[in-house]
Amino acid sequence: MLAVFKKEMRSYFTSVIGYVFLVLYLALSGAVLCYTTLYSMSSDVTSYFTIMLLLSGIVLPLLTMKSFSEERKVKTEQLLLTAPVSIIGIVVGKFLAAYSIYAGCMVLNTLYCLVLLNYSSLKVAVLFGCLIASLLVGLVFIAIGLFVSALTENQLTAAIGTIAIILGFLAIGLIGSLFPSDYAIRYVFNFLSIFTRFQYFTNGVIDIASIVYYISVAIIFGYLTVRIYDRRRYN
Amino acid sequence: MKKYPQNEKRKEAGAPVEKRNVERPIVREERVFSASVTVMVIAVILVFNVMFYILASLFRLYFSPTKDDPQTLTGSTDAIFAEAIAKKRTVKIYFCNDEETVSAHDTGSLVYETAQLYKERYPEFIDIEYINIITKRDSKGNRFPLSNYTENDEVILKSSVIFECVESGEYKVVTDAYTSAGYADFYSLDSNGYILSYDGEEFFATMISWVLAEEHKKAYFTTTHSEQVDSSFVKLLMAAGYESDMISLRDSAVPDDADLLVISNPRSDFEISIDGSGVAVATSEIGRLEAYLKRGGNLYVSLDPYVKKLYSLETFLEGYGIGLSETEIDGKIYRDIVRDGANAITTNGYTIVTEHADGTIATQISENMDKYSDNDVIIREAGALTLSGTAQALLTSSRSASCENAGIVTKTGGSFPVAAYNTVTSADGKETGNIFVVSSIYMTVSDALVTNGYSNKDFIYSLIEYLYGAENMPYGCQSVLYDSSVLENLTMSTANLYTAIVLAVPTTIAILGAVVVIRRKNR
Repeated sequence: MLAVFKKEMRSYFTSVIGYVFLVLYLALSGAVLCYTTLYSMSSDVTSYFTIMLLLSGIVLPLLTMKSFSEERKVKTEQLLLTAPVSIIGIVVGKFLAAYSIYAGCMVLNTLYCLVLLNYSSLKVAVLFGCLIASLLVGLVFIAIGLFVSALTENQLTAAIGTIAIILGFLAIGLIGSLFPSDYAIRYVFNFLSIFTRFQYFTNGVIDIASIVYYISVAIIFGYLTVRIYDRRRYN
Repeated sequence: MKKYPQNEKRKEAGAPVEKRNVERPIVREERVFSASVTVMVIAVILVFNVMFYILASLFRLYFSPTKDDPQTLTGSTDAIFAEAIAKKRTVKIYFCNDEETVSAHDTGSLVYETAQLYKERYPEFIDIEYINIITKRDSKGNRFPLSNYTENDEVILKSSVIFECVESGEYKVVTDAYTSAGYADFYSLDSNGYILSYDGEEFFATMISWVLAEEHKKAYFTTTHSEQVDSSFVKLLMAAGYESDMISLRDSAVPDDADLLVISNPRSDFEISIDGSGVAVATSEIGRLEAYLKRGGNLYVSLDPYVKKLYSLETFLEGYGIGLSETEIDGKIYRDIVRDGANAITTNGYTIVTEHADGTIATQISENMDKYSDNDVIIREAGALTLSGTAQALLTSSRSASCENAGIVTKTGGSFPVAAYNTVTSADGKETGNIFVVSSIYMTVSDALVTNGYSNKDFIYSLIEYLYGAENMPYGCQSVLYDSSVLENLTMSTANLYTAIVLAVPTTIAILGAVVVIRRKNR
């Protein structure tokens, strides 16, 4: 697993895609942070993290689209599958590589927010909650990205498919809000909604059930990726 | 292995055996098994999540590390009360409800806490009592003479608080100190009626000083010119020891007990009648202003630079060396509105952080403010002032400011005066009064006064102390801001610098990445 992780990290930093993701993500997040805090004269970071949730859903697929689809395209998949490493090890290694880059960017952006302490009473608990939520949502988005990447050998298809699924998950909360609050189905949508659960954290509340939910969704998509590759190995 | 009849016939004929996919059923079985396992795993995870969700809701499996900062007193009031404490005076604070109700009330609880803090800090000076206004008894069951506190037709409710100096009997009733339906004197509201802050420390200091004072100064606000008076400014004057009232100069002269006359953002001009010698008739509004100043009165004027020229009032002020600056461009007159991109706190550049001018009073005010706060005074949409004679600036824009109007730059060069004063000596030379003019209506609005980052309030208190001679200003009292997410002391130039630093990181990564990728390609 460690070998796969190192290989993936090397490929991110020796190919264009890794740098494109870093530059795009850091530039967008920096611009959004400055606009929502410094130029709005507000230390409320919840709007920044909410916008970043949506932007992550669009930009993160850049990181995951080549994970498995490129292996299939350049025919190195056979080498990978016959390597003395378990499918789980392969999937976890690739997952950790993508997640390390995302988590590094997220932590750096959160450190930028600390400059607001000089000018206002920044709610550190809310900042901490938003960071945790963003890291957890990153788990889900990257797991979805790896899953879709494993399904196709076309990187563009992988990216678009990932964005579609992520936006679908985000839209669940919007669909749920259309129902009256006393309808049971609204609770179902809220239960499944990534966005609704994210909002607990933006209020500074660390919800254990939401942490379990995000990890569970990531595990489900990770498991599905393992199943796809397991089947491919023996075919 | 399953035998296929076709294969048997082929064998007999000597033809090659057709191989069929004999493993199909086995693979199909494996796939069904694999899919079933996958579905079961997903189902187990989902069921686990649903159960955890229900348990989390039942047993509140979450934690919220946010907590409100407890109130503290800054100690700013020690100097104000020192004399009274030395004279062994005592002040009683009566809450017109029982202690449990007051301490649990959503807005009254803060008032309760502040009272407790004051009692803790000044145990010999402050005492608190809880009164039942229905039974007219205190917490010990003693009879409470409620009628003694309604001599001036005061209204006393369950949410009222009464302050009384025990020795002099001077009292003040705060009728609606707190309610859940409306908010009163302990809070500051913005123009939409939303709570900006809880100002308990300052308001308690105001009320305690009020009942200790032997006499109160009087401030009159002019009317009949659509004047806009901000309630936070009235409250500020009360904290400075002034009782406020209104006056129409069309109907009467400025009363003899007027310590301060306030002309607050007039939108129509003052009346003037000129007699044969070119002097304003004494019964006209301008004539009455002249008479007030000539007997040593103090005047506070705030003007809106966007209002059409008020000829009589502005000519009157120009007579004392202070006027609103104008520029003529292509035959059109433009008011000079100060804009300062680098030292503004808004992106349009019109809410500026001012500088203290040079000059004796300006320096005294600046040094005084230094003791209590960061010293920055903000002002929004201010016109530049022109000064002549003995008039002096108190606040100016920075050197990087320019003047603009309707997108046209009218003046450059910076350091435009936005607040100024002049001293007026009475006709017999015995009395002196002061005129203060500020060319913005936003210096004393709630959101400029209610802030712990800017010092507009301390500036006004210093002005009142050094210009109008009042004493015991409640400097440095901190408000509990409700919307404490506002960034204070951040100018646009600093925001631009931070933005540049934040965007430098991806730029650096882009350059590094380009170098690495190109070198790899050329290897």
